Order: sequence, then C-alpha cells, then structure tokens
Amino acid sequence: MSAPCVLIASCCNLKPDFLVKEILKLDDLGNGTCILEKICAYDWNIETKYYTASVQLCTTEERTIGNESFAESVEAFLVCFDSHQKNSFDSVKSWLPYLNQLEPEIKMLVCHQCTENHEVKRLTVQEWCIDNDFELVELAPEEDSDENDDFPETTGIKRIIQALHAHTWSNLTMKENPSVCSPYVRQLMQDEFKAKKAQENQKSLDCAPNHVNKTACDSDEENQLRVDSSCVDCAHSSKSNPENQPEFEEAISLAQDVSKIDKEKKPKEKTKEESLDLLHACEDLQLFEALGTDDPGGESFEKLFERFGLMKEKAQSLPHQERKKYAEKVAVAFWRAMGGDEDEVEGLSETDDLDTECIPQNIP
Amino acid sequence: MIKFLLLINKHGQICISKHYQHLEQEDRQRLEKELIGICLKRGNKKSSFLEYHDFILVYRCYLDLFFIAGITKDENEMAIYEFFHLILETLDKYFPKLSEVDIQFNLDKVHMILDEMIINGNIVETSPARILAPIELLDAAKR
Amino acid sequence: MLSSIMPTPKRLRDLIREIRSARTAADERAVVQKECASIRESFRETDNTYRCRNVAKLLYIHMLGYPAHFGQLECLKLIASQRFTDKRIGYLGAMLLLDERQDIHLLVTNSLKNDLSHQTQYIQSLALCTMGSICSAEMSRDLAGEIEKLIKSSNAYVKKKAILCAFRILRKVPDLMEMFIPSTRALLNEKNHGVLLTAVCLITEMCEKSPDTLMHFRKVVPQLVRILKNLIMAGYSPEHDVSGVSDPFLQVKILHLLRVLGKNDVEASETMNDILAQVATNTDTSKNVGHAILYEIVLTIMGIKSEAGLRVLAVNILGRFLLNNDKNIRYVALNTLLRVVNADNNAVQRHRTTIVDCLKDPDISIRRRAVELSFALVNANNIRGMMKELLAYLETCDPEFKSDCCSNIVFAAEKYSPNKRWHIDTVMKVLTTAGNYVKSDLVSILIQMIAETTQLHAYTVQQLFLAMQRDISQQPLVQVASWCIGEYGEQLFNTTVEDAEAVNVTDEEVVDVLEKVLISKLSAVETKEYAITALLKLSTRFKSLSEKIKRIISVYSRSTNVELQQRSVEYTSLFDKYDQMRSALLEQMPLMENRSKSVFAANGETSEGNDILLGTNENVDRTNAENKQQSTVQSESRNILDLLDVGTSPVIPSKQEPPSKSGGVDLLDLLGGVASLAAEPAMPNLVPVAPSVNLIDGLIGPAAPNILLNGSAGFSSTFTAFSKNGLLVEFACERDGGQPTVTSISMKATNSTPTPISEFVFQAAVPKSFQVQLESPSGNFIPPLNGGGVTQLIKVSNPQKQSIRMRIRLTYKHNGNSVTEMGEVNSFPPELWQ
Repeated sequence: MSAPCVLIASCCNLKPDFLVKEILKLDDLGNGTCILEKICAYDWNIETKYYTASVQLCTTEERTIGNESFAESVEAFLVCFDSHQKNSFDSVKSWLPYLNQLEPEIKMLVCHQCTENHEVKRLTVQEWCIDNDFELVELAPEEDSDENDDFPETTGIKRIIQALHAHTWSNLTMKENPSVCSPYVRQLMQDEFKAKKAQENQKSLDCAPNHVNKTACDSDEENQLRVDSSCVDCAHSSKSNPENQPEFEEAISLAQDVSKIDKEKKPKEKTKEESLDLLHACEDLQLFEALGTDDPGGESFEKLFERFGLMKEKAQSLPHQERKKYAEKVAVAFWRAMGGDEDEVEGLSETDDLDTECIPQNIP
Repeated sequence: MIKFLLLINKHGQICISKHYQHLEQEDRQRLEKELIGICLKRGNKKSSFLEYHDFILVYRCYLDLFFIAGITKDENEMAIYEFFHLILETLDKYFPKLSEVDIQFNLDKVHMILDEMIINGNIVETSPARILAPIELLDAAKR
Repeated sequence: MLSSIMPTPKRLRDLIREIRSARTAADERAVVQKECASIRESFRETDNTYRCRNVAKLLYIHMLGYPAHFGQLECLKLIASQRFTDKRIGYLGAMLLLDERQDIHLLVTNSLKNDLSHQTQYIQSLALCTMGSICSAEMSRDLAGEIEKLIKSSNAYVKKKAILCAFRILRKVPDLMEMFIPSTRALLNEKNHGVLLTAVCLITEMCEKSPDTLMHFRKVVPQLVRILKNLIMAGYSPEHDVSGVSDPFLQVKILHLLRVLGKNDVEASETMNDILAQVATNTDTSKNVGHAILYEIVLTIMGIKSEAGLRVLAVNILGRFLLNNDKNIRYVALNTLLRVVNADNNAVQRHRTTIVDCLKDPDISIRRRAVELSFALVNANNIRGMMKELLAYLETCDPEFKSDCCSNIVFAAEKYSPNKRWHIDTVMKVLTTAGNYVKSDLVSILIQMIAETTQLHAYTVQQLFLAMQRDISQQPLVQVASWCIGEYGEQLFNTTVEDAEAVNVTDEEVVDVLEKVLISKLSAVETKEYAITALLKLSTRFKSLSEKIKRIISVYSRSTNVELQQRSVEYTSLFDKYDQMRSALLEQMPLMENRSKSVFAANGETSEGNDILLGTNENVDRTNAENKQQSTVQSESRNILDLLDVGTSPVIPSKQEPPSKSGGVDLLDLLGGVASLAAEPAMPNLVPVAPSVNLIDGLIGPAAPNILLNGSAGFSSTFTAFSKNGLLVEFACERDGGQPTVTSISMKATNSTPTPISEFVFQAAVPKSFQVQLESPSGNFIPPLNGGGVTQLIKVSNPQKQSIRMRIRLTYKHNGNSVTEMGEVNSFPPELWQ
C-alpha cells in the first residue's frame, strides 16, 4: 500500500504549492514526484512526541480522485478559497462529490481571512464547514482579544500542521518510549539517567561484575529508583512470607524517597501534607505489586478498564471490515495488557495488509 | 450534577465523551451531533451558557478544543465554566505544552484524569496534585 | 485427564488470521462457532493456563458482534481469583460481557463485596468504580452496608469514591437513606477537601430527596458555616486555591447546601446570614472564579429567609456583574435578576439603566434576557423613559423578537400610559416601526383602543393617514389606518387638533390612497378587506365621491379572492338595491364597552411574560361585550343579507341571537373588523360548507358565460364547464396580470337537485405543453337546491400560448350512488392566451 496522502487543492489564486512549502518549511520546493497525471507528491516525514509517519503532500490543479489506489491513500484534504469571491467558494462546494469518494478523515478549508463583511460571509462558511465536517483555517485571522490568554488558539499554518499531527496516520509507528510524560516521571528519568551514569563510572572503576544484582539494598539512588519491580516482588511475597517484612519496610522508605525527589524538584509548590498524600506510602506500594508482577510494559488495568466501554461502543458503530480490524487491535492490546506472552500475537502486525486482499464477499 | 462532558476538536470530532446519566446510544449520538454544531457555530464570541432542552449547556474553547458540559439547572454554570479551566490546568500540568496531539494519543490518561475529578457526575477532587497522584504513580510503576 | 486429550487451544493470533481469511459471512460464522465450542470445552477444565487466552478470544468474538455471554461465568471466576492480574481481566470481561441475567448479577455482587473490603485501595477503588457504573437496585441493597463501611474508612482516596457511590445508590434506592445518615454527618468533621466536597454533595442529595432528612441536617448549619468561614479566612493553600480563591468549588457546593437548608426556615437562615454577608463582601472578584462564588451566594441569599439588607446586597452584586466585560457574567446576572425581579423589584429597579444598556449587547442571548427584564421593570414612574429605550430596541432588534416586543410594548403602554395622547403616539410608533411584525390580534386591540379614545379621534386618524400615505406596505398599520379612516374619515379635515399640524388633504386623496391599497401587490387580502370596507363607509361620509367609490368597489366583484369578491358584491348591492339604508347602516360605530380592567389588574400580579396570553383573552371578552351592544345593528344587516339570498334559503328569523362563539365578529367584519371569520356567522343557519359562495349565488345566479373586459385588471370570463343531472361546474377564468402565460380558473360546483352531493372530487388534466396546478378545494360537500357549493382554484400555465384544453373528472356520491363523470372543456375564450 502506498503512503498515506494529504491532498491539497485550491479554488483561488493561492497555489497548493504554497501550503506545501509552509508545511515543509521550505523556501524552494524543487520538483515533486509526479505520481499521477496532474498530481505532484512531496514527502513529509512527521515526527511527533508520540509517533513517526511518512506521508505525501499531494498537490492537484483540478478536481480529481486520481485512481482507486490513490483515492484509498488520501487521509486528509486541504482546499484554499478566497472569501472575496463567491465563485471560489462555489468551486470548493463542487469538490464534495469527489470527497465522497476520497473519504478523507481530515478536511480543512483554508483562506486568508474570513469576516462577515466579505462576499462570502464567515457565518455562511462556518455553517457549511460544520455541515460538511470541514475545519475553517484562516492564515491571517482577525486579532481576537479574548481573555483565554493562558491557552490561546492556534491559528494559520500552525493549526494546519497541528491538526495533521493529531491525525492517526495509517502507517504511523508509535515511539517505544514517547518523550512525553509528566514532569514528575521526567524528573525520575533524569535522576535515574544521572545515577546510571554515575554507577557506570563506578562500575568501570570497580570492575565488579555482579554489582547490579543483590547489592540493590544500598541506599544508592539508582537502586531506589529502579526498585519498583523488585520491591513489588518483595511486597508480594511479604503477604505469604512474614519473614520478608524487612524488605517490605524498605520498599516503603524507598517510596518516601521518591516523594523527596518530587519535593526537591518543585519546592515551592509542594506542601508537606501533599507529598505525604501523594505517595500514601505503604498502600500505594501494593499497586506496584499489582502492576509490576506480570505487566511488562503493557497497558495498565485501570486504563484499559476506562477504555472498554468506549471500545465496545465504537466497535458497534464501525462498518464490518473496520470493526474486524478494530476488534483485532483491542484483543491484542488486551492480551498484552494482561501481560500475555508475546508469542501469542507475534507476527500479526505485518499481516495488516492481508485484509485488503481478502475481503470477504458476502458479509453484511 | 454534570450530565455529560464532551471534548471535541475543531473538526467537530469527539475526543472524549463521558456521560454520567444513562442515555440510549442513538440519543447520545444525536445529542452530541447537535451540540457540536451549536458550539462550533457559536464560537467564543457569544456567552458560553445556553439553556438547552432540560439542561444548561456550558462550553469553553481552549487551544483548539471545545469543552462542553450539560449540567442540571441546580448546578452553578459559572463554577463549571471555571472547572473547565481546572481540567485544562491539570492536563497542562501532566502534558507539558498541551496540544490536541497529547489528547488524541493519550485518551486513556485523559479519561483517568477526568475520572479522578468527576465521579457519577459530581466533582470529586479539585487539587491538581491529588488528581494526578495516582496516575503519576502508575507511570512510575510502569517504567 | 481430560486436558491431556484436549488439543492446546488456538492462539489469539491464529484466530484473528482465520477470521481475516474468511471469504464469506458463513465462513466467518463457522470459524467463530468452532472456536466458541472449543472455548467452552476448555472452560470445563480445572486448569487455568489458558483462561486469559480464552477471555481475550471471547472479547474479540464479542467485539465482532457474536454472542459471547457464556464467557461471563469465566470472568466471574477470574474476578474471584486472588491474583490481581486475574481480577482485572475478570472485571474487564465482566464489564463487556455482563448482561441482565439475575444469577450473574448475584455472583458479581459477591465478588464486588469481597473486593470492597480488600486491603488494597486500588482494588477497592476499582470495585467502587465498577459498582458506580453497573449497580442495579438490587445490587445497591446488597452492597449498601459495604459502602457505608468504606465511607467510614480512614483512607481519603477510598472514602471520597465511596461517598459518591452512596450518592448513586440513593438515586437508585432512596429508602436506603436512613443507614447513611450518621456516617454522612460525621464526614463534615473531615479535613480533606475531596471528602468534604463529596460529602456536601451527598447531603444535598439526601435533603432534596427527603424532608425528614432535611430537618435532620438543619442541625449541621453551624458546622457548615464554620467550614465556610475557615475556607475564606484561611491563608493561601496551594492545593485547592484557584487563582487565589480558596477552593471555590467547595465554597459553591456548601453555599448550595446552605440554600437547601435555609429555604423556608427562619432559624437556619438566621444562622447563616453573617457568613453569607462575609463571603459576599470578601470574595475577590478580580478573577472569574470569584464570580462563580458570588453567583452562588446571590442564589442562596434569594433562596432563603434572608434579611432585607442582604437581599439588596445580593441584587447589587448582580448589578455589578452587569458592568463586567465578560459576557458570561452579564448573562448570568440577567438570568438571575429575572428570577428575583418579582420578589425584589425595587432593588432591581436601581440597576435599570445598566439593564437597559444590555439591550445593545452584541450577544443575542443577553439581549433576549435584557428585554424580558426591561419589560418586567416598566412601571408608571419610568414608563416614558423605558418606552423610549424599548422603542429604540424594537427598531433594531432581531426579527424573531419583534412580534413579542410589539405586544409587550402595547400592553405596557395600556397599563401605565401617563396620558391618552402619549398612549396613541406610542402605539403609532409601534405600528410604523415594527411594520409587518405586529401580530394580527394586536390590530383589533389597537382599533378598540383608538375607538375608546374619543377625544383624540381627529388627531389619531390624521396621524394614521399620514403614516399610511408614507408607506402602504406596512400591513398592520394600513389595517388600523383604514379602519380609522373609514370610521372617522370626516375628522381628517378637522383643523382644531392641538399640538399638531393640520393635515392638508382632500377627500379625493383619501379615497385614492385606499384605492392604492386595494391595487397594491404588497397588500394582503386581509388588508384589502379593511380598505374596501373603509371605502364603503366613506361613501356616506364623502358624499360627493359616492359614485367613484362605488366604481372602485364594484371592480372586485370579479376578484378571484372569495372574501374580497363577496364584500364587493355585498357592498355594490348596498349602492343599488338598498341605497336608502346605506347611510344608516354605515353610521359611526357606537363606542364599545370598556374592556374589563380586571384583566389588567390580575395581570399586574403575575409576570409580564403572560401578557400576550392575557391579551388574547381580553380580546375575546371585548368581542363579547361588543356583541351585546351591537345586536340591533346586527339584525338589521342580517336582514339585508337575507334579502340578498332570496329564494335559495329558508327565511332567517330577524331577531335571532347570534351564536356566542363569533357572533360579535361578523358585524365587525361588515364594518371592517376581523375578516377571516366573517362569512360564516353571517348565515348561521345555512349548511356550513362554503356559505360565502352561496351568497354570490344569490346575486350572480347560475349565469351563462358572462364576459367582461377590464383594461387594468386583465381579462376575465365565466362559463359553464360541465352540467349534468343538476351538477353544475363553472369556471371563472382570469389571466394573471403579472404572468400573462398563467390563467387562474376559479372552479365552482353547485347542486340544483333536492339532495346533497357528498365526497365531491374534482380533477383536471391538460396536454403536455401546459402545466396545471390545483389548490385544495373549499370542501367536498355540495348542499342541495343551489344552497352552496365547492370552489377550487386551478392555475394553468401556458408558456406556448396555445388554446387551452382541459379534461376533467368528477367523482361524488349522490343519493347513495357513487358517480364518476368525465368531460372535456374546450370553450375557454381565446383572450386567455392570445
């Protein structure tokens, strides 16, 4: 299957190339690849906090759906128009039958600015957009002096990029450890990184081969931080074996240390009560027990739990083929979340393409 | 009481939809579609409160997201409006430089955060630190 | 052992592959069925090895849309497991697969019970969460005890979730309330905000559900006051502060609860007076969140038995809200002021100017409330100023508000007008400003009002004439003006009007304006009816123009509009056969009885919003009053109508009491009032179908083709289209003035036999080069002996200007037989298309 596409068209004198340049942040585009007659493609490698994806920005001079496989690959559609010209807006409308074929998930109507005084009134445009699932993006919107200064709206080309980023591209690859996480965890990771480095230095000095294993009881910071899975093991066994109690207590002290780190990080914001509450010591460690034992990196239970109702509803609303894909995803995710053996689902992801080849014929 | 809470993007796509009062699937979809139309059309130039059917609609546009809630008439609409701000601040604390992508790719986290804030349509916790504590613990545990 | 015989269950991956490669729905079903069977088999084993795999597969099958409920029990087994991993799979599965089966619910209940008392808070929380979303009434009863225990737990995280779980339980089963009261009350001693917040919610819910509980919790008012006090007095606490305001959400919830507790209770209200004042004065409003608290406090002050001073304070807070830049705050203020305006009118009056300013707000929902509130504030002292603002608003407001706004202005003016002249001027302003948005019921109310103001007839009629001369497109204005000109036409030349320039006008000009109304395409039929009646009346007031007026009126005897045609014919006969009675009949109407003022008196007690409704009632009252007064004139007119109808109907008793329903209206009609009801009561004892046609019958009779030419109004012609066995169908054709290719045909069917015709249906067809359009008929019943008829309008468009041909088909019942007749109509006069 070819890479997913963003189809870019224009119904005014703003050229589709312009948007491509803006998105790619290039002054000079060079020649794109002509993938079909009148359709030019430019590669765009998307990299976000969460995933990477390679898509093609395709420009077209005329209304078209290309061919079948091209139409399949279109996942987003951008069209420019001029709000000063009614016929420009009308030609946008004549894209609709084509869009019924293309079925892009993202549809954006781009213009310079659109106000109530223009030939095509803003309200008209906005209502049309809502009715047809378009988002109106103004490249140079009117200054809006609204009070939400804390979280202002993104506009213009930035908004276009943002919306495209927020799309789930069919070929995206999720990053293993997305660089985003809460400041708290980020702090933990940094500390751990530092500790690891320090330890490596130590190790190279000591040349002690067995260091990582049982010496973890040192008050060494690195071990405290890495301890979560092992301490959970301790806590777990502590229930059945009372003699493991000392280890368990140690885990508690470790957790308190974690809160200490937190406190140091943002001394101004944290009160004493809060940090105590934050890591309600002993009890929270039992959570580690729950999660740590056989949950190697899968989704946590609560997370899945939250999601399930939604998933169930979503599946019901999907067309059969998609429903099938969706059910697969859920089941596999579920398996992983349960900490199931990777063997169980291994090799499935590559067969994603399968379903385009063998579409069952008579399934309602 | 909060009857439902929606988080939609400017495309009118629903990111989060939480209903705290039972509503048949069909009615729910119809309602959501109507509300999305209303809110996108009104934008942020008009007042954010609207009497609608038997409830009050409160919405607020942040970043490129619309927070929409339906509340019973005995609920304080201004407090809910401010509660949206609290939700956003909490999310922003968790996802630095919050944007639509964060919501889109962390729906589960957003759900968890909201569930620490609202249970059965009532506000249960308003301290961002307390709201995030269990979630951060999970994150820490998972590494 | 069984397991040794059983093959290893398929992996999830393999199942997915198999489903993927299924080519047909039947194939897919077969795969699923086979797998389900094997899963069932596997469940029977005691070995747990493949349990998770099986549940995952079931989930997949379930999401594909196949029944997988047999997995429920398996999930329950997992929930019951001691391992957390098993538990979470079990709960997830149960959430998905659970149906309403009783036995399953029972089992879930048991598992929940165990987990609610688990030593891990996250498992407890999980059970609480599950329960919150799936609990039935039965489950609520079974687990209420456990929840109550958790409410008493020392762990705030579990506690707050348990409290809201109790909230949910009480919604399902209110009679469980009793057991929660003591533990809930104890919650108010807690320090944790989450716990306090949820506890206040729960108490509020309890108090709203049960008056007894409400009584009980009145005792906690001092405690709530203390909590609130601590909140506002406490210094900065980073945890719950929102923009420098200490936990606004908790404050709001407590204030709400205080409102519930203080409602209708003097003692409780007194206890909270001080703290309410403190919160109201100490809350920082530099941030929006402060406004949320103030808003809640206003609601509480207004909702309890609070001191007068406090109520003024509350209204003043709202007054300040109105000045805020934030549209939401203004909106809330207006909304709340609307709720309190009746109880605290004086306090609200002080903010009148600010409220009136909101009429210019860019936000429509704010304007809508501002206008409602403005009307609620109008009184005798401020009527002049307020009306000025409201009239200005009427001019610019959104069309959807205009009608109601007009009605409200008229009623307010009626109620508080400082003098008659001002009243008339205000009404004039409404008519000229709102134009066609004035509701039709208002027209008759205004006419009545003007008639009553005898001392200002000259002034009024002159002003109305001028306004109408300027713009004849404003229907309500033209209607009122026409009526007044007809009635008080001679006053137009009265030059002794105070404070107004005399109108320089001749009687001829007056008649010309009315004729213009009749001709104008912009005039509604109803307006034309007013105008033609006015002309008739003027024929006795402007004697020299009598002939001209007669000519103008007679033109409309050929109008395709039945109402207008009827009037024209009636009035023309007044000039001819009954000329001697004309002036007596058309004398100025006697002054109508004053409207019962009690309607307005009652009105003053209720809110302004009802005015429109009351206005309508009043209108009916008035018509009845009028009815009594006018009965003499009425019977006279009835006699004339009788005469017009010679021979075709039984004699109408001359002194018959008019039917009370609309008896008054028919006279008003003749003299220019409400038109639509007119014809019917004029002949109360005739068959009700299309009586107006019957009247024309008397005059025109079953006439032979009667061709008239009229230069200005286009060509028209009447001829017989079909006649057989006493059923006569006549076509009155008119070439449309505006669209020369369209011919309007008014079809009339009459019945000269002694028995009625029922279920009469007329159909028409034309050759392809034409198009035909049939309007709905006036009825389907044709009375016997030409006692009435059915009319129907047919429009034929003839773009190629060919000679019109038409096929007609008639079906009806006569003497119990169904009859179908066909015919061709070729006798259309060529003037219709040439």
